Amino acid sequence: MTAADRWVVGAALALVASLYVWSWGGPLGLDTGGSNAGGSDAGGSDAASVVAEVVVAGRPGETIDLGHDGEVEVQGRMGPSRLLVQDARVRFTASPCRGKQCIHSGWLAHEGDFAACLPNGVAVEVLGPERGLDAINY
Amino acid sequence: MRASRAERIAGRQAQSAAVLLLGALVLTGCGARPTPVHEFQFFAMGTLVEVTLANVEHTAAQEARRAIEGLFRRAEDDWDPWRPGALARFNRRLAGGRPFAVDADLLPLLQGSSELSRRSHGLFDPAIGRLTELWGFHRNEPRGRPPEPEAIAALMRRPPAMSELSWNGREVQGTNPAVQIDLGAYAKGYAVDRAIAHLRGVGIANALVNAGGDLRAIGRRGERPWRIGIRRPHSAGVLATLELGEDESVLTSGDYERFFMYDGKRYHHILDPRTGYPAQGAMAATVISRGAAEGDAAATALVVAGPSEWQAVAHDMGIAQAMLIDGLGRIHLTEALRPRLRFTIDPERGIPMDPKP
Repeated sequence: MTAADRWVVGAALALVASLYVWSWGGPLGLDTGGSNAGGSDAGGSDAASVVAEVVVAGRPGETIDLGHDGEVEVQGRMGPSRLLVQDARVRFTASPCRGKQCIHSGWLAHEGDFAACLPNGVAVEVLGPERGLDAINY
Repeated sequence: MRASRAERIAGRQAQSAAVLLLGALVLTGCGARPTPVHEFQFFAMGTLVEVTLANVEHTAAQEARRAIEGLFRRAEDDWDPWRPGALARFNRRLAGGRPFAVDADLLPLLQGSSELSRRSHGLFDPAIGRLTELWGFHRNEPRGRPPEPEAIAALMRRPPAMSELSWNGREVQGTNPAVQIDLGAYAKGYAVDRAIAHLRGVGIANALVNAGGDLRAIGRRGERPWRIGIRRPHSAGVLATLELGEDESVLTSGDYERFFMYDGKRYHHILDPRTGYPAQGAMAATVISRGAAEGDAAATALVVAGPSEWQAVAHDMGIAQAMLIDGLGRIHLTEALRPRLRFTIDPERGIPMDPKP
């Protein structure tokens, strides 16, 4: 093997490494957690990277990390809706609507769990660590 | 001389191997690259509309976004009888009792929904606009108490039905003053179909359009099919998941979508055109169909049909894949749908009933 051959093989190996990072690395971190399709009936959530997407009318969706307990207030069409994040779950705790169906929806913990305050134009959906479902039909 | 020739051959072999290796890596590298997916959402037609496009360039996705949002905005005004638009004008003229020509845009919705109403044995019937209004289900926030029984009885004396529209080409005449059109169980599905048709027209072959759970998907999400979760009634969770074929719609109607409680009793928005009251006997129906509009109408009809009639109605509406969850939480499935669903609960045991509403 000549020096040139060694250079070519070396370049190929370097390319392997960079392609690996390019394909499998990055912010999604697909090597952890495993799949979570559907969510089982058992309560609780063990995945560290569960996030929920909050959509407010007229604005792009934003994600909140369910790994950090706390309260989030979002301004909807009618006024503020409050979301409580606790033990890797999220729920509506206040909304200016009359029917309060968003609050009655209770805790959202598993991928695909969804609640919305339609009068106020605020929706929350739990996304999985590796988002396995593209849409929820209801 | 010989040694150097052997060396050259070995060198060439190593070079070929390296080139092959490089080629293979580049190919697998491209193959494993995540599919470019564009997602956008907006509120329209009283719900959250979510659109996902796979394998689409950024500019094309932005253009599609503008077009689809525009389409839903127009639909919101024109197909909602309680907004100032084409359907509100139609209802006013219908109430006048004289024949009149129907807007070209509205005509296919009225004719398509009339045909589906006929095939549903009248269990899906958009002619019940006055009933919807009487119950207060036309508002985002229901009125909170049932109407007076006398008011319902008065409207039901001559039950409103699509069959009481008298057609003459594009002209229509109302023959029953109780008839006012409410396309609530059809228009969202129809808008989803229109959005999919638009995407196809501009060359987008892989897309999912989801209008508040009424959804249709074409193509695939890159290397895999589109995956859908069907929501569990009366809960935020997922009941079952399924993978969609190249062009399929999934539509569910449920008594949990819009309702109010009064005196400890639940009153939901799926009204039985035969009685004038919320349908009894089923809490949800899910339908897999080609088009979303037909699935939307069928899902409503199956909830009204209930456990005894749902299979006959599905058959007559051309729906082979359907699921009904009856009032006790038991799950009924057509044979064609059963093998496609992956349940998160034991389907034989049904939905655990929550004592709370």
